Amino acid sequence: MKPTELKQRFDELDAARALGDLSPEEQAEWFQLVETQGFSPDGEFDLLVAGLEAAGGEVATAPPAGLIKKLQAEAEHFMPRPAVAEVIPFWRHPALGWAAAAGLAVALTVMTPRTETEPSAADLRGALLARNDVLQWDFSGTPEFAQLNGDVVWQDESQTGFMRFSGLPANDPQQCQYQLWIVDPQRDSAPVDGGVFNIPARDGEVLVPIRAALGVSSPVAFVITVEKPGGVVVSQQEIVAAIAQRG
Amino acid sequence: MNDCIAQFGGLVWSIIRRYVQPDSEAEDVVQEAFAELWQKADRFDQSRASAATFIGLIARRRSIDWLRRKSRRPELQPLPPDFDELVSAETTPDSACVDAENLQGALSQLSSDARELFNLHFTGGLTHAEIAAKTGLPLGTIKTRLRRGLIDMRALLRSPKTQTAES
Repeated sequence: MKPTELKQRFDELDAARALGDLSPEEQAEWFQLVETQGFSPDGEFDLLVAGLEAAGGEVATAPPAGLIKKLQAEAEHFMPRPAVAEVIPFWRHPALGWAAAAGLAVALTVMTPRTETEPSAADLRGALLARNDVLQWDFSGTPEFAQLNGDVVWQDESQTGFMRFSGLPANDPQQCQYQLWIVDPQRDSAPVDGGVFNIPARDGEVLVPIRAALGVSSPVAFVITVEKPGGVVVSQQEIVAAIAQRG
Repeated sequence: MNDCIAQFGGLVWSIIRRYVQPDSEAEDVVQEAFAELWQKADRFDQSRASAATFIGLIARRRSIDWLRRKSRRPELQPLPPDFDELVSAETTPDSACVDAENLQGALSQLSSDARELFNLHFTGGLTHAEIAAKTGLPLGTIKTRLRRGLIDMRALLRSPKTQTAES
């Protein structure tokens, strides 16, 4: 088959991929063309299908009321909080882009420096540790991160927690970021995204607050991976920096 | 954020329910989709697509990810390109904004047969088998026409003439 014919065939298969109707034989052929010809999936097909589905969504069914309440409650976890001096501000403000683009009126809390009356991250962590229903596990660095020391503190009911690190190498946010994954088999076989964060180039201890993207009820491990800037939806766990787990 | 949930909650719910059943599982995937939306909202590029398209994209990707997790052989199912790849790496000078106006313009230039299939599949929410039963067309013909139609739409959206005329 000529190169132009191979490309045409791949386009046909890639359109089918975006439409979600590849047969098992076509899936194998798609992978083979990716590997042997260096073709890559065209995101424009995915945008087109998503756009067509969204256009068809004018007759969308309203979600259950209970689900809307859950979404609203979880959205609060992503609202900006007052900046705390000891904390690396790893959670970029989520609503601004959509609000500007969609013309939505979203009330934004302004990030402000910590005042004397606001508790520090260390204070908040200390208050959490005073409770008797809190887990506290030490992090163990993988061989490449053997110099790492740290622990995680987590409380299920309030869905709050902190990680404390020293010896975790500073990262260049333009090159890579650390990402937390919370393993909770009772919820899902896939770990819950705990957010991305940076480690600054300075000595000393760093406290990082945890804001799980989804509800966590019975965590059995906290895993730190190194990912591309912005993090990933599903980690391949190519670089695991540290793990804290039930002793 | 509550306004966003009110405006796009139905869209996300409808897309995810096409792929994910039962509803209890679909609700979990909807929550995952909105969590990803809040995390990545600041990377939204309105020159590439409308907000509804990007939200639909996240809903589809999460649904396909769910299907892969449920599959015995997930490695055989290609996952759509990552959100970040779509908004940055794959941008080309030819890339058109995928919004309702440009989509409508491209759709209007497809053959009436292809337009009808797109309408039945995307607006009517019919599966290929349901379309076959309704139209009497063989399943293979439906698949081929939808695939060719999508390729044609991509070409039309890349055409400066189409974009100038329609947008």
